[in-house]
Amino acid sequence: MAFGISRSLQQFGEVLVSRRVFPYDVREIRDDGPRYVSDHGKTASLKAHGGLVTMFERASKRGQFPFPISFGTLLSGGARISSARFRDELAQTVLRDPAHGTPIGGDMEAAGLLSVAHRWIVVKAISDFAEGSVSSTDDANRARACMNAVRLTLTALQNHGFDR
Amino acid sequence: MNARDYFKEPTPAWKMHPIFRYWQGVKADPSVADVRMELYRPKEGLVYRPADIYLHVKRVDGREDQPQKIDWEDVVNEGLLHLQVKAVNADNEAQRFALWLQSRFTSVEGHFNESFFSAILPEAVEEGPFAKGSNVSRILSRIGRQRTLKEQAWQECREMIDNVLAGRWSELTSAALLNYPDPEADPILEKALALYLDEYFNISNRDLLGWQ
Repeated sequence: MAFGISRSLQQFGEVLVSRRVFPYDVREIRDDGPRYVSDHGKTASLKAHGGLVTMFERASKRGQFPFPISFGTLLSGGARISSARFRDELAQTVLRDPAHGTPIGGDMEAAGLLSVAHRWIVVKAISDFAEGSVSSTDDANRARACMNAVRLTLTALQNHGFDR
Repeated sequence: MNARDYFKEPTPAWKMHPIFRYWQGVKADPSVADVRMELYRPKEGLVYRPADIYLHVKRVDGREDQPQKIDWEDVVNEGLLHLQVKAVNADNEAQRFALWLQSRFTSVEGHFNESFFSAILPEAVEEGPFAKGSNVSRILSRIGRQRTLKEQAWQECREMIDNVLAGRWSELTSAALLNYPDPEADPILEKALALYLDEYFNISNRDLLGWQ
């Protein structure tokens, strides 16, 4: 399950495939007068494995899926986000720096995966928009998100010959 | 094996692609009057769908074959360029070259680093031949500038960016490739560059999201 960044441009159940992951916890916190600022200027986004991205691109075109599939940058970190303002701030940070690609959503797990995996890709689907409390997320949206992400992943693996 | 055989020029990847050999046969078929490609890459929400190529074959008797669909791959596009296959119209040609620029610029980006490349790219475009074009100038006006130190890497990156653009210009105008006259090639590459910059710097996406 993942969160989307725009209710008007995305929908529940839309599958998000990572071209990159932006680990937003990696940042510099420094004093700025009486306050402190959080600076992502030196945060690097990490690229998913090119071959795996191609595998999912092919699957997205060859299968008939009743949900949209987007390829782009996932924001990932330890925060359980229930704030449209914080979500937008993160997404704008990514959007402003072309080195990070186009933000499409985010989660809490991908950043952990990056620390242990060498060749990886993250495939999730939108269950919420990180606006309300987590408990307010509709169970049906969660279930649909999981089903859609699994459906694309299985199709990609089968197309690639992993069903044998 | 002598040195001449051992060091012989390798065959380019596009020539080895099976689809290239098939299309080479189609182009040589005397019943074929014209072959065109169409790039299909719609934008859905914030991002583009992975691209497809449709190949349109027109016969001398006026009939058109069912378009053949294939995944976009750089090597396939390169093969089509060498088979002198133009896009269906100037707009589609610009979209094709925008994607092609993305691929070529990615290797420049990888050679330096993404932040360095993204700082130098607008400077290079601003001083290049397309800066005054209506599409490019509109995008350039929306891109913030970063200070860059004009050291050796800066010069190398500038040259590589210029080479990418010069290479695409050559593909559009060369008699052995697409053979567009200059007045047609000029707006195609200008629009392609604007499309590339728009996508790379997320200009339209900022508008879509209401973030300036």
